[in-house]
Amino acid sequence: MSDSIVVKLEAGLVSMIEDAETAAGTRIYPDMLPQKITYPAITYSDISDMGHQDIGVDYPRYNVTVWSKRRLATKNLAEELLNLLHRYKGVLNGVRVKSISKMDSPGTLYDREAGVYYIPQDFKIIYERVI
Amino acid sequence: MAQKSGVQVHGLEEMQKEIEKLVDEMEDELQIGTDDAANAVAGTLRQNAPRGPSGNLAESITTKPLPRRADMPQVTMVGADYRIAPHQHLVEFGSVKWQGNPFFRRSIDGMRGAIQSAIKSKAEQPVRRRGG
Repeated sequence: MSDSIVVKLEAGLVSMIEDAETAAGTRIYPDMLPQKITYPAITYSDISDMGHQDIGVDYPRYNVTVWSKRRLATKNLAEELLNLLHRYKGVLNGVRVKSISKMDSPGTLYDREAGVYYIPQDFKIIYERVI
Repeated sequence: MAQKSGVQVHGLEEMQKEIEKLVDEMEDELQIGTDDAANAVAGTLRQNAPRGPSGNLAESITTKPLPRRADMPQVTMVGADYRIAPHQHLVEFGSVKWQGNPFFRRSIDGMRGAIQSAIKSKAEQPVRRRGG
């Protein structure tokens, strides 16, 4: 069975971030951080599944969060991701992406217990449902 | 010989007054529509908020209309009162140890169409009352 378009899209997104050779390298995880982790790292997750019923276009909200022990490094990595993703248009792993745009986000957060800064950023990914 | 002609328009002042009245009514209706939509969103957020032992997160959801300003659209804020639920952001966005439960953003995204319809419907009422 072939992968669904959403799976292809997520794989394309991860490859795109890996190829950008950010400070997080290949430490990009779905949904949450693994227990033993080297910082900085990135997590991604789908937040809501929105789409048009009458035309073959979906526009889900995705969250991409950067995590780091250092505040400035967290901000720099978040900005790297923003520059990479915001206003992107192209083909990701075979999925035609019409545009990616940043949505409102809360800014820098801090996990006191773990001593880790994190910046969640949401993106609306508009893509064609048919490959 | 040149002929003179002219047009007299009656009722311009009355029309201007009626338009001003219409705009005032639309602003009032928009405020009602915005408040109604905000209350509907707050109700959905309370339903969708994850339940802990205290139930504080659902209880913290509140609405607050901002003062009206001529140069700004009507705004009614919906959010969690941090005095009641200071952990709200940890639930929504997660932390190192647990995955976030983005009930707030999911609820807003799911209601976007309904919010727009509710406000639009209210804004149209003054026009409808005049047969528009």
